[in-house]
Amino acid sequence: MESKILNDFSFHKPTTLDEALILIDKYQQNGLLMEGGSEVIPNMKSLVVTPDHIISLKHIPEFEYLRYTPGEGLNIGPSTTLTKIEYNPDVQRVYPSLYTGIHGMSNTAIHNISTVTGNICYAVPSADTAAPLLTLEAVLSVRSVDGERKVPIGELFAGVRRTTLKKNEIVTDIFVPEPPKGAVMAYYKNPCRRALDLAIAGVATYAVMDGEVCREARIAMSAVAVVPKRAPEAEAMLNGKVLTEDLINQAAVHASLHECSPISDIRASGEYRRELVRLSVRDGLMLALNNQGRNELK
Amino acid sequence: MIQLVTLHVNGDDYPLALDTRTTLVDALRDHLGFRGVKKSCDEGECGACTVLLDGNAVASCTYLAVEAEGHDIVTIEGLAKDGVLHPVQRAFIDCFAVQCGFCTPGMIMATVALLHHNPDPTEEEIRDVLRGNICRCTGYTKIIDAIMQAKEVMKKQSAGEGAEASAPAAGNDTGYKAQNIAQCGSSES
Amino acid sequence: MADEFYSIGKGEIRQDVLQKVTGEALYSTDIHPKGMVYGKILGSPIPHGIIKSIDTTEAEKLPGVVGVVTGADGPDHPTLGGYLTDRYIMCRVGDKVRCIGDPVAAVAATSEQIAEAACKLIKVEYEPLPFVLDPEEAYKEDCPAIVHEDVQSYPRISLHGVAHCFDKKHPNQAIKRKIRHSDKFQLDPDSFETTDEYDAAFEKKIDEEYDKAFLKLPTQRYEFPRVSHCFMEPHACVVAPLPDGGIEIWASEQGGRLAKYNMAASFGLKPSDVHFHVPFLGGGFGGKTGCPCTGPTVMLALKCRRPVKVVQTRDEVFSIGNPRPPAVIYLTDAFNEDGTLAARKVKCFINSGAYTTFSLVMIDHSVYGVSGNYRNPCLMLDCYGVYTNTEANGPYRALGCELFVYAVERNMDMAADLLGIDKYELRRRNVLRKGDIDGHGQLVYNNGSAEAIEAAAKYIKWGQPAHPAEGPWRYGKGLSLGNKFTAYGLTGTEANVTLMDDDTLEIAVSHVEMGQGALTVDSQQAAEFFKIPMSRIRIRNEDSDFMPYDEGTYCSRGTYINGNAVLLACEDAKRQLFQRAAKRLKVPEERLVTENARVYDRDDPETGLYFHDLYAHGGWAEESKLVGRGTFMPEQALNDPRNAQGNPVLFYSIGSWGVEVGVNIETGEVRIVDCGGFYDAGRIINRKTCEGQIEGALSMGLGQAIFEEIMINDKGKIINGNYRDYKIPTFMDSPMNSRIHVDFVGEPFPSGPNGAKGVGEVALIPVMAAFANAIYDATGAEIHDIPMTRERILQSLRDKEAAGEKE
Repeated sequence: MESKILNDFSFHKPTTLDEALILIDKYQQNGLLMEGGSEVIPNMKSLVVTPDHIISLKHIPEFEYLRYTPGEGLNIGPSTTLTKIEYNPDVQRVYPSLYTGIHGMSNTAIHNISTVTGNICYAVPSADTAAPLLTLEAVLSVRSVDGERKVPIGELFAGVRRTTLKKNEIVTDIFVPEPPKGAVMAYYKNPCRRALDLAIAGVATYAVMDGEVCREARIAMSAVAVVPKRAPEAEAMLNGKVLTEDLINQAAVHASLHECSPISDIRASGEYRRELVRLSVRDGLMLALNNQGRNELK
Repeated sequence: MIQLVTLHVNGDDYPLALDTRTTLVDALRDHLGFRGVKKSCDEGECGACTVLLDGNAVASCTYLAVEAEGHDIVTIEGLAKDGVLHPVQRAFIDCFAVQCGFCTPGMIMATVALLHHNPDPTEEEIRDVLRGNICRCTGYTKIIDAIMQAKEVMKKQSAGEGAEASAPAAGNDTGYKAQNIAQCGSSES
Repeated sequence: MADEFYSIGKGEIRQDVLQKVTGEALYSTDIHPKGMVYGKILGSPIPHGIIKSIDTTEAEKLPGVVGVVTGADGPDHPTLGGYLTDRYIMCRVGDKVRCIGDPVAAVAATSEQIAEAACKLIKVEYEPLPFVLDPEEAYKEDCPAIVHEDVQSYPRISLHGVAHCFDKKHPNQAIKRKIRHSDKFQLDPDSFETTDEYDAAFEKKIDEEYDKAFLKLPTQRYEFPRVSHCFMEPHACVVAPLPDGGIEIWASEQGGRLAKYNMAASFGLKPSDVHFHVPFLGGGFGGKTGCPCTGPTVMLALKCRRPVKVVQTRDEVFSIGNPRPPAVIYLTDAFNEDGTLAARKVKCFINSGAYTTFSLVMIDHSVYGVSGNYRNPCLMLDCYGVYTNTEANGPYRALGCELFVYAVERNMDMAADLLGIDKYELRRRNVLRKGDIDGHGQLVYNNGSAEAIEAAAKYIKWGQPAHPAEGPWRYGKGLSLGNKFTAYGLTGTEANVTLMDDDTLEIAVSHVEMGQGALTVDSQQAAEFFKIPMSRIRIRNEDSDFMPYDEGTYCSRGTYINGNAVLLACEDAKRQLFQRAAKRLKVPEERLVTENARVYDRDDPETGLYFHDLYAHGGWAEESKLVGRGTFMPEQALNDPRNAQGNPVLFYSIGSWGVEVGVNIETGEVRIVDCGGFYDAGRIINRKTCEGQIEGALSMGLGQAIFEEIMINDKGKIINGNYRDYKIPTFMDSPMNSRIHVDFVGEPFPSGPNGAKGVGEVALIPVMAAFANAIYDATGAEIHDIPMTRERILQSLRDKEAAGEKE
């Protein structure tokens, strides 16, 4: 008999960042920050998490913004909903892999309340914004009563539903640098069915071409290791090299065999996940080879 | 923990004393009697509990009632005005988009939200935006027909009303349309 | 042709739709009597064991708890299981639990939170026993786990061809169903001493036919998973105790009358003291025949003397909600050189789970899948229902016919390939036509199999190649032909039609509305009969106290049986109407006609009166309310249980799909290019509701074909009991509107109400097979394990490559 009953908790609705910082500092041992709640509430119902305090971040006006600065990048406020991000024309044009990652998540109703911050801080291995943000080398601004620091996204994930953030820290901004012109970006979610599904093997690719040469390649994977991660060895095989189909295949094979460790579960076998990594890395980089998926359209 | 909260539902204010654990769907159904809002999976995976929050579709089973204070909530019961059905309700009738009816209130509310943000969706866009609403009876075919009819009626109504056409909700710049997306690995239907 | 009818055939607006689009329609989950409390059922955590003790003291002390029940508060003998009564409403100390989730206690409290917390405080001590999860394992003589030691002593009803031959050699066998049919030789079971001898002789003969045949296909094994109906409304029940000792029940239940009598018998109440209401069902699909909540909720209500509501969580719907049983089919076919079937042997193991519930009906019905489309010159079928320590299974739309249809259709394609005959042509040569005798020895006189498959083949442009390959995508076409039989019920069906004093008409039936359009098609029968517009017809169905009798809505019988009852009631009403009108108008009855609530002289239309003219003073001061009554009693026929020959089938409805799919040979993904479904359901009463059922069934069948599978771990616990891990098609998985087409073939059915048959189940039956055949055509992947997930498709391709065949 599965529970659908939440445990009892005190509910807090701070309206400023300072209020929120004080609250999470006070209740850091048995409290939970909640953005949209679409992960937290079902998990509370099945007693996966049982906080005594919930601090809702939905009511802080300064947390809601989305700012694109041409030539610099995108600043995402922590309470900005997925809907506002995915339907923003600058996001669609400049960050197509982030758009695809967000768009394939759950459904419209969940997007209307969920956030990117929530997605990455909840840190499930299959988080769909993780791989695109890893390839885009996003940087988080993090605050606590003790001060402020920056956390590159590559240093965020620590384990299944664990991050390197301290218990009293709040993400106050996600900065996504603008990719150079000519960067080719893609995200492959590889779900079992076309909607309402988790990634079986999420793969994001990012390649900057200089004529025939791949000046820089970035590959990130989710759902195939304990944390979302890059594939630095496969990337090194490509950086600075003339891009060919053969080289792409080699890199794809390498990433799938040596840079991920997928498990077998009710959704898919580990072997199938590896194969999907290979196919998606290949497909994403082939876009660059074929000059498709440019991030700027006339 | 009990908290006092006022919910604004279908145009009226309802002051309530609620356990903080109460989800919006339970507040609406059991505390306020809006049983048109349905509960099916109770974890945000099926859309049956969809209501409008400030014009946006929200899964009321994964939303705490205490969070909903200060927002404009609309349920299926609040859609018809002065006994006149909303064009979406009318279209669902005319196009046989209803069978058992359990998904219907959520489906209709999600449709109203869609057409508010994107008054002229294609079939692909409808299927995409409404993907979170599951139906086991209809196979979705006649629901698409109904939404196509509803959008035409509403476009005519807006045209008739002149420049008073409703603006998309703040922040949805592209009106639920995906423009200029580079090919990114989504499989076609 | 449709113009000759007033209402039949037209897309009349549904009778229930206004309530549903405004949120006014009430379902069992919405019923909320004053003072109501919430119930939760505690189930066993182990698959098999003896209950040593139950201690509810801590639970009872929890503030907010209103009452706790255990098996001791319920009936002290099994009362559940209409055909084989093998289940207690609640397991008792000293007796066994037989599956995870088997109810052992229940709590009523002022909130669901408290009820659930209290359940956790109940201490139950079990002595675990060995358990078995697989039906073929359970069937073995030396199976270490015996689920029902006393099965031979359980009360039972013989049904159709089901032989309750409890077999000492197979102690977990609950039910056995046989078919023995041959056009080639005659063997009379009466001429043998025992059934075993008859069986042995028949097998010898069929093996001879098999040996003589041109093509002997090796035995094919097909395995099917447990699947969930996934109706949007979970199982739900509300029970309120009444001051006179009776009870009022609202339940999401397809067999309301059977449930009413069952609850009355279980709790020692008079049936008239059990007031059973069936509100709208949020989907049924067979799974709500025997709501699993009802018994425990009655127990709670009687103990606490408060109204109690029990609603299953979504996980409970998956894990104790009567899903379709898993099954294994062994099909051994032999064909003649011209592609006609020479001999067919079928063996099937159906996993009945811990209790037969209605899986017995499924086992009986499913085998008709083998006999409803094609000639069976020589057929031997043995279908076993076997107990295991998994959740009780129940009827699921199509009752297992889709499993046999799948196996047959895959074998037909296989044979066609090996014989070098076109797959459509092979089917054409085997299909049943008027005058044939089918596998149950029944004469075929209304069976649209030939027309349906012809239409499907034409739609999909059979004979022309599929789309050419594109990158990793390969395309293929598939055909399938399916059928669903409807048999008589055990009881008659009644309807009342009342001519009201405001020129409207009120129908009362017990036809359950679960989305299929029950209320609408019944209204259309009356609209047609009286030429009254639907807007002036009201129909009621939900109240057992006042609605006339029908045993339940399942097995695609509703339209036929209730429609006929409504027409009989209309005839009775018209008789009374004309009697009264003739007196008033002084016109002979033979000259009277009625339309639009008016009765008039055919030869002098000015002379007439309205319904309202028969009444006065806003009521029935002069004469009684004009109520027409009709009882439809289909002719009963039974199969000989030794060989299932007889005349049991009322009608077969037929369906055929032609589909084209694309398969990605790198990822195993399947996409639908086009699909056309063609159905013989007699005369279609409402084209729109009928199309809607078929479109819905396409989606359901697609889900069964490529996604759906309830998974259990090695202890029998469900591990994917939620909508994320058990995948049903979403908007994005179902085909675009332009890629699905539905149409109808066939002839009106002579004894159907205005020629109608049923369509609810046959809608689903051919779908899975069509996709399988198309996937095979596209890739050569032979999938014998359903669902055809991406990984299984890829594995099949790898196996094919390893076997060295050319792609």
